[in-house]
Amino acid sequence: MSKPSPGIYSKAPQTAPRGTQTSLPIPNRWQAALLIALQWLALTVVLAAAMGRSATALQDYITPNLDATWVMVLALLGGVSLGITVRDARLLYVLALLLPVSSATIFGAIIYLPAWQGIILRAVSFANYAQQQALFMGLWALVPTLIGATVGYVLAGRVRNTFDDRDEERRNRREGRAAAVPLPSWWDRDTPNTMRERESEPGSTDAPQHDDTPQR
Amino acid sequence: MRLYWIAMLAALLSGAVGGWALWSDADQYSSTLRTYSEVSVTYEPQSFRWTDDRFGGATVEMRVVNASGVATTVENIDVHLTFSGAFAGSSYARFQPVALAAGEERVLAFTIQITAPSIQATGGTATLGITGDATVAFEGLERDLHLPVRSEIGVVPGGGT
Repeated sequence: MSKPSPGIYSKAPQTAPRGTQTSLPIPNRWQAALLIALQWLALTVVLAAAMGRSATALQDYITPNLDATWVMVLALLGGVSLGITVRDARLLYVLALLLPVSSATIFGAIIYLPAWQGIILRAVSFANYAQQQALFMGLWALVPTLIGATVGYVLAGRVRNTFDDRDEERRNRREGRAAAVPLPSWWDRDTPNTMRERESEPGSTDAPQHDDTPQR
Repeated sequence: MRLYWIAMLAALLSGAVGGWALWSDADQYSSTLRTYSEVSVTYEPQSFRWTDDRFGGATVEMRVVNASGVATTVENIDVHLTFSGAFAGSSYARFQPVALAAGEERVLAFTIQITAPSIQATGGTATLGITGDATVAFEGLERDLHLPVRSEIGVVPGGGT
């Protein structure tokens, strides 16, 4: 018996489930977790930077300045990005909540940075000011992030379904099979009530045919 | 999957840009404040002189130090004299802006006129102090620095000149 090639025993590469085969790699569970963590970190940093550029607290010290709307736009886009990549809704909303909170914390730390560095006095009023500004920015970004996360989650589901359907069609065509009958939308599907109604309609082909002829 | 990777790559790339922007934010902010903190306006010790036996006027010198790395212009300095904390008079002459190169310092003289007759007689026995503020413009920085000026002179008995 010839020695099998090592490829047979090596761990098989991750492949997409049937109907979603693309040339792009599908990360495994740990890779996905790492990617999402990196993505969240990147978005947090971006949002914190936008807060620094947009805040009135720092506008005299930092150039160029951005309009405060940018914080909302970036928070929204950050939420959409998370919504696309995170499929677990609970995890998504935890991350979406932590995103503006962490960004605001970084932003507050930047405001207080000169006091840490000993450039200016570590006054309680200055610490309070930094906290107040951070809180304001965090609240300013929170709502768009949550909205964006919801939009991204829904959008990703729709796009995923579209790609799945398209890939399924291609596969069927390639294999010479008839296209599968698409599942009707939820509002068109039968429920126990509609099924009973349909059955009770006279002349309905769906109704069970009762043979009243006495049996001989 | 395509959308997943587009979202992921866009987030990671923007994270790199954001990291640079965040670093730049912190650097600009702290270097600006460091520049501000390196300019000072203080009373030049032993420079206070009464110009009037009845404490109607005095001269005082203020040292302006620009230890920062950028050129500055002292746009204005308001100097007020206090007798044991109570306002006694001010320098009412129009201040001429003074340009200071990076690292330069200069001593500026001010003539103070006492305008509080009710406490004027206590000038020789009161603890004298300087209060006021200075406005300093920095080359390359949009925001001017409004610097409080606070110094204690101590008791300077009268004698006039």
